[in-house]
Amino acid sequence: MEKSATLKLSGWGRYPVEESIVYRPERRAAIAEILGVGPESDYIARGLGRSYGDTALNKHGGVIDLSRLNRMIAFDAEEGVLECEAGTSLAEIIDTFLPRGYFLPVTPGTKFVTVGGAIANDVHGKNHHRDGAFGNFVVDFTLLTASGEVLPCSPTQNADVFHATIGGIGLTGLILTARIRLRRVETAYIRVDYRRAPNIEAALAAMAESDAQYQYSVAWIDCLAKGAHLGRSVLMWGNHARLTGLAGAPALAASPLRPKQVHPKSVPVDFPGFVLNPWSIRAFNTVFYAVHRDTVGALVDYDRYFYPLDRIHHWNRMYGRAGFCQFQATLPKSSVATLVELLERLSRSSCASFLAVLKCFGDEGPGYLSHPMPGYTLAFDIPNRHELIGFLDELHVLVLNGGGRIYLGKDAAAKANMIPEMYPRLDGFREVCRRLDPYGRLSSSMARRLALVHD
Amino acid sequence: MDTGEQGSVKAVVVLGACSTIARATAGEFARDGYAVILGDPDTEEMACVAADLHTRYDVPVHALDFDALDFASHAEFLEACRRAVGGLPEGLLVFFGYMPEQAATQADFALAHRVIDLNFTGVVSILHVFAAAFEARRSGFIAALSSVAGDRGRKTNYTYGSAKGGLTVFLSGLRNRLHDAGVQVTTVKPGFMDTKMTFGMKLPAPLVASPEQAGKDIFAAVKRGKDVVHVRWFWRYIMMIICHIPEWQFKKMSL
Repeated sequence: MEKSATLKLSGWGRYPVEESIVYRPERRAAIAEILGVGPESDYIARGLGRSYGDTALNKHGGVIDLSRLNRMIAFDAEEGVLECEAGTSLAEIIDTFLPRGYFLPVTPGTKFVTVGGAIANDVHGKNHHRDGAFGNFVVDFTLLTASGEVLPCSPTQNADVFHATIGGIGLTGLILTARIRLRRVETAYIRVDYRRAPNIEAALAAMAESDAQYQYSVAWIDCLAKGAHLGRSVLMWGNHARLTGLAGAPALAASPLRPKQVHPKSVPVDFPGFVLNPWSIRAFNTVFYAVHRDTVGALVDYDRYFYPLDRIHHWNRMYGRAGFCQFQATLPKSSVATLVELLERLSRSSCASFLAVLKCFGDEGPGYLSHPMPGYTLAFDIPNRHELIGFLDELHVLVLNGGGRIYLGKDAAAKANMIPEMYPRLDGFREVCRRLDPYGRLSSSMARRLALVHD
Repeated sequence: MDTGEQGSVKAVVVLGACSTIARATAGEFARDGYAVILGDPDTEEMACVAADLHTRYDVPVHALDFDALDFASHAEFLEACRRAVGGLPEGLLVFFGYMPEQAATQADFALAHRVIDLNFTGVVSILHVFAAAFEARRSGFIAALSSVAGDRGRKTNYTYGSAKGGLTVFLSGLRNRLHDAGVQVTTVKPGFMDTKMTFGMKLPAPLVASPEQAGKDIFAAVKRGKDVVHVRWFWRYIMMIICHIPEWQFKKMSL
């Protein structure tokens, strides 16, 4: 039997912190052994711990860290399809395949996540309006279920399990291997247009007008701006640069798929709580808005465009020892008033956030608990101060009344009674979980908090 | 096949291939264009490692069943390596080893015997075969994983430590013998590694190396022709201190 360790774990937000019995198998066969005969009452899979809240926590229960099961199994260059184990990180995929002319089909704001985690959270990126979420590019996967069976799942084989697992935050079983379809690219660069919008109405109008011309679109919002400036934003649109597009930049054209690597910096210690205060955050936001002049066609390498925060390891320490919550909600397009209300509450509150981002989502995906749906998604961090939970409660009620939903991969504070309304396909999800796992061998702190499987 | 010196194929044999350090080191050699021959008794896991190296680095990778304790099979294993890559591989990396709890090895001699055979006798047996072949060819490299535990006996793991200590001495002698033949022997002495052996132990984080870091250090040491390499480098100084504590004092300590 595999060795375990009792460890205090948290998500990336470092709130909550909970003790679990952690296993980190290095052989594939060990996963089934732990799930089958391990002494803990239940287990949840964990990857690189980048979900913000308690999706990959299991208070006093078992956690199976799959980060060492990160072997790539095969690559079909013709189809661009990679088969790999669930613990393979997106960073490893980029390092291996970008030099060969392939990039991730969908990427979240960090590359330090695993393929298993990307499927379990059905992560999305700046191209959701055009391509949908990560699950759209999953050809198939193998799932180890609570009974020890290894189920092959795809849109045509065990389709209900496939759809319950995409966005199902690990509650259907443990993903062992997956095949994902990569995207062909000619260069490692993104051609980016920046445009400033003086307020939220202008930002939404600009997105509606221009998103269709770009693969990638996101807006950074100054969440402290008020009144006529409420929601003032920097819109950042991008397309993969073609080889011909590098003609004016011979230094880049010489090795178009291998941009110069910058050594990441690290936040070495927890910042004291007072470093992030309304004044420092206001200063940051003002400078950020001021320096982003309207620009057309800037060439930005993929790392700086997609992963600005990955360049600062342990950036979550900026929020101090108490950690922070990330809030992300999506509202239907008809609920612009609610979006404005959210921004107003945020700008008025003392729970100031460094970075808020806004994006317009495209169609809903097939995952039963998949987050994205057509509408506007808003995400920001809130430092963990005593008034945090009360403030989040207010926001959650607003979202619910606006017909929206919160993103499970980022949540640590929502209430169970909100979920059925936010996720109308919850019943289908529960049916699959209860069928595959009648004795509750899979569970997590989030599953219990939000009653995702059992009332 | 890429043939460098006469009778030498740009390939490296990696024994104990399923360990994370072996996998990381093999990756560094594969990145440098080496074909890789993996040897391990766990053929199912080894197939995953082989597929991974091939997918990531696009080099030929062969997986051969290898049992360190089946000494009689070791000469044939060398022949199987030759057949796999069409000649004698350039180098050999030995990573297999075994470290159960010290108390268990004290209670059960059969287990202590196994520790000695896996960490020492088995390595001597396979090196016996490869050293002769490399010596006859008058080129090649050998690197084997010993341990800082072999530098001084401690009550917490001296069974394992003594086997590794024996290996360190064996490698030192082998290096001396093969020097004239132009065959390089590198002794690798890891300190704390973030592997399944140490998972969950309360170790001071700055002293613990990741398998990826270890792989880079070992590859660099072999390429530079180092005799002894500590992984991470500062373990050399830590061990210098530990080895200089007088025995009359050391025997009273708990390390």
